[in-house]
Amino acid sequence: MPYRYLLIIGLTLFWLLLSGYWTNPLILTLGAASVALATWMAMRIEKKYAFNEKGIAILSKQHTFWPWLFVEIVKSNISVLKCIWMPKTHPISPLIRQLKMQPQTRIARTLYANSITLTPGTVSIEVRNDEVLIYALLEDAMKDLEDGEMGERVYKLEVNN
Amino acid sequence: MFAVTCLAILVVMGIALARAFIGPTIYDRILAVNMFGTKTVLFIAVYGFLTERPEFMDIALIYALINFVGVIVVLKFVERYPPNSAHSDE
Amino acid sequence: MNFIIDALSWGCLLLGSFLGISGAIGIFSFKEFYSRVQAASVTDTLCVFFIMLGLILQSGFNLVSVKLIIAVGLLWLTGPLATHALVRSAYLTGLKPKLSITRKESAKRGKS
Repeated sequence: MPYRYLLIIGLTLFWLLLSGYWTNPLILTLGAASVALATWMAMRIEKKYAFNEKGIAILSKQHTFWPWLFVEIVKSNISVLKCIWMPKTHPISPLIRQLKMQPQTRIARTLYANSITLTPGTVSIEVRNDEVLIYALLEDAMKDLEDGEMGERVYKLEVNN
Repeated sequence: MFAVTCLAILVVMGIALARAFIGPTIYDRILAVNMFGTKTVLFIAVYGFLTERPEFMDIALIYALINFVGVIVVLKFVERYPPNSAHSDE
Repeated sequence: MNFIIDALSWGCLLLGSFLGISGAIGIFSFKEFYSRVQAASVTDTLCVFFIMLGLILQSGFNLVSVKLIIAVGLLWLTGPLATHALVRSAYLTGLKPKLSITRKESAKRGKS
């Protein structure tokens, strides 16, 4: 199961980078023990909530998604800042709407809902089967989500590997 | 320069605490406390650079994790036993 | 060269402080809970990013800057989760947002 090896590599890197002692045998042993414990616990969780859908294929294509998401975050930050500093000229128009999600697998839906929440101005309130309930501060932000560019991009991550 | 940033973060923390005091619903308070925790992480990092002891970053990382778990636990509790003030508007 | 990096990091720190303070003002001046969440979201994303970028430019490339990058990653991963949990439990326990367009109207408009 490749997910297990990915977890072990990631945890080992995390420990080495955080500790900074790469030669002391005692600390290295302790680190190996911690990694083993954490992996065992994660495997116990996975027995119940299996995580076998295209997780790694999505991870290997993140580099196309994050720069675009960063630009989106900067844009929506500016629009929310305008609402904060100039409430007279930029009034808020809050609304709630239920949208269909384009991504199909569970991990892609998680990524999509998290990206919605990470962007200021929109928050995903609840995720049901293939629908997501969204609160938006501005009508324009909701329109952007309805046009579905973000969903399209997340969808591209999970297909055609 | 670090001192100016420290001061700005302290001001933000003060305003967040004020919102936590007056916040009409319990969720306003939790939101303010969450923001306070994020700012604490930043403050520890900047203060470590101000006193030229960047080892403080470890504490900041741990604080980020503990803050997240703490907020989730409090929310779980509030969701199960909603206080009366959660329902009232303003 | 040193001077340019110093100036860049000062600019990043100042911009981060400005974003933090405007987020705090937003959390104070917005009228209801669901709008305040958006103001807090500003400080959770770009304020964290710019202050950490300024510190990374100051420290150069070593273990400390790697830790700073890990801190940004952790905050950006856990921030939306905490916000989503907060808003979801607020919505489910019956805190109604004040909307400019009600949900039924918007559903009608979405269909037409």
